[in-house]
Amino acid sequence: MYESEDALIKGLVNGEDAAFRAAIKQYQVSMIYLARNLVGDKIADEVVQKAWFSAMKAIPRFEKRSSLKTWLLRIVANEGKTRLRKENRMTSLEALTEADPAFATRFDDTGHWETGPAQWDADSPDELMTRDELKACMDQLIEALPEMQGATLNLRERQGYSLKEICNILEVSESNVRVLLHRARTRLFRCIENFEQTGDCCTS
Amino acid sequence: MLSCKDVSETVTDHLEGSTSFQDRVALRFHLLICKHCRRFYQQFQIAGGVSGSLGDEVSEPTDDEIDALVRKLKARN
Repeated sequence: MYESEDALIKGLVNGEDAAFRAAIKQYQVSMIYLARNLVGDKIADEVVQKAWFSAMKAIPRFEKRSSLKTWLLRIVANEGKTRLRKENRMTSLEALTEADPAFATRFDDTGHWETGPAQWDADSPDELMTRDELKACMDQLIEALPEMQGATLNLRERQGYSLKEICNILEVSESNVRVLLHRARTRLFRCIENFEQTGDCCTS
Repeated sequence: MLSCKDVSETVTDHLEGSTSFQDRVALRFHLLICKHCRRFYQQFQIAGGVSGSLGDEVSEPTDDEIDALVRKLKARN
């Protein structure tokens, strides 16, 4: 029905039911994924609904400096962060400047691996995830990631956003986005490595 | 000279293409001569890739759910 994004935006500004329906159908899933990362599964729906209210109020002033989807996700991120702050659950981004001890103990004084990484029993993400126990373990880990790490990982790996777009959505600097992504991937790496070596899940 | 520790700290920058030509050459050279880092680099990519399919799937909203949300939106505006 709406052939272009411009037409859809116009429909939303005019308050057309069909435009609301089309937008919800197209963007709701991505919005819920992001909200889940930020505030958890239980209140994600509520946060997304709030985001829709805010978005429809603001749509006449939407300047199209980003795509409609990016703009909507930014509103979800804002609603999510507000909620976290209210509940004092927001992890400070200042902590990002501290050195990450992730691999520090793995190297000797000259910066060489003391014990190199263990060889995994899979050559691709899909192959790795065919193992139910490991998949269950990784599901738990993803759920337990700090909010902004989880959100960054989801936007990059699941939704395929560039780092620049992620800065725009989460309103953090590009270097912070890189640190968030690096830490999230590092946790996954360490958890898989631990599972490969011991058969135990890192979070249990 | 790039150390293994340096590789572990900059792997995301490399994967995201945020490094200079010189850095990339230094990394390539290091990976050629260091099998631990070759393995690390490859497995780090796999680790990031698994996250795309993790967590509960969010299903598309049904027509009823969409209608309910549209009604709420219209009532508010």
